[in-house]
Amino acid sequence: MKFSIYRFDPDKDAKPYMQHFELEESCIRPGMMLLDALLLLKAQDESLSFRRSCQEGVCGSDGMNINGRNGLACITQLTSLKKPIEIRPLPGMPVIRDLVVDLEQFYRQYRTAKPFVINEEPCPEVERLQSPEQREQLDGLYECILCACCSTACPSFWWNPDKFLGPAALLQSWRFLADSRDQATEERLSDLEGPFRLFRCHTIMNCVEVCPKGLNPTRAIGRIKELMVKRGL
Amino acid sequence: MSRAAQGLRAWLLQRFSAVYLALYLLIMPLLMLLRGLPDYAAWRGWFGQALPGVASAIFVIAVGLHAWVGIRDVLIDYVHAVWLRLLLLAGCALVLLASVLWVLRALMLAAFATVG
Amino acid sequence: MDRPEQAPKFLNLLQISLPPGGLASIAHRISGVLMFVALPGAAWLFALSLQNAAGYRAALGYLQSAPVRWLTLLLVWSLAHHLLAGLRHLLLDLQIGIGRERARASAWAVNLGALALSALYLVGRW
Repeated sequence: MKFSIYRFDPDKDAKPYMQHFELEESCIRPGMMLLDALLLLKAQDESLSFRRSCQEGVCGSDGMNINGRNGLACITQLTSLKKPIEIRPLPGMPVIRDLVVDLEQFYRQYRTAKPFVINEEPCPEVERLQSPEQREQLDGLYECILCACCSTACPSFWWNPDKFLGPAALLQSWRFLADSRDQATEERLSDLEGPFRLFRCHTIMNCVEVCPKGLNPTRAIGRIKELMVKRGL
Repeated sequence: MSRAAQGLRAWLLQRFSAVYLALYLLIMPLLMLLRGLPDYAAWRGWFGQALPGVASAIFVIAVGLHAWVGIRDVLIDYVHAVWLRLLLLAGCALVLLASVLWVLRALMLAAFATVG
Repeated sequence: MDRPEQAPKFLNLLQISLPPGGLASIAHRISGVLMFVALPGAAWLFALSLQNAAGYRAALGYLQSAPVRWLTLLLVWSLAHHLLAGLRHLLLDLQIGIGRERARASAWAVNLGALALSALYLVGRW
């Protein structure tokens, strides 16, 4: 099985290049994931660098561009991929080394969305209670593992990663706007005004295409716009 | 250029103008086809009438506003140098304004002047 | 380690997949820009056609001339795609068809529909 993998070592290489790898067919076990293959390839070439941790699609570490499409290597079946398999880092982010990218801009936009409940009332004896219906509002939002597959697939994020929040941060923004325990609705919505923060979203929907958890940032962003219109901001 | 084109307002303007444009483009050509406009006199007569004339004037203004928000979005996405972007925005605004006024003038003349 | 500003980025658009929604979107933008560029010319042509009988004939003459015919075909596609993609956008704004599968399907419909309308126009004009 043939692979073509993006390589770049800042200490050695002037430019990135694609390196060809091969795995013997005998090494391929049924149900094998791309991450398993990458680990075998790393045994061939120790210098091959990529992030990984849980190996089961919940930590979000191994996001990468696989045959042109962003995804998590640990839950991408080898059999689902056209060969030779082309692996590149997540698009638009500075490459630290090989498949490892600098996600600082991504995290900065996430923090800008104030991803925590803002509630000035004194803490109750038990939790701040929610009805099952209220809790349901968070489904499809809380499951985000911040793998960055969506934002790095978004053209608007490519062109303005410092000003446009991107699908992941905006999804989290809605997650807290929709949370009955949060009281900072006005503040959150004002924060999103202007041509950049939210309104660089042109409903391209690349984010929905690639989310490995099946989440829908476009829907969340639509809900934010709806709320903005209702509030007449 | 226009501060009133911030975020939500620009987005709403684009959507509302889009609805009008879509309705006009679906209904007006149909009406014109049904009426049949075989020559200049009929063509001018059509736009000289109050309803088609006003609807078309609104259409042209809506095109101007809709195109403005659209082009502004394109420039904001791709042109990061603020002064260059400002210059291009002003240029596009001028082109749109001139085009819209050009058509409005023609529509008004069709309504007021006698057929040649 | 290199400072991030000097680090390379992977952004070769030819190597990044373009889903049907993405195609619909970029074509929506391109068609919009094309129509914007054509707007002054179209405005002038329209005004010419309303001016007098000679102007009307001249305008029709321009529309039927060889180079302009291809332009009008391009603009017909532009209008068709922009309109269909625009309607899709309005529906998505209302949260209609916003799920992944539905959005893909509607994108396909828009992309093909615009081409179909252009083909219809081409055939009709012949």
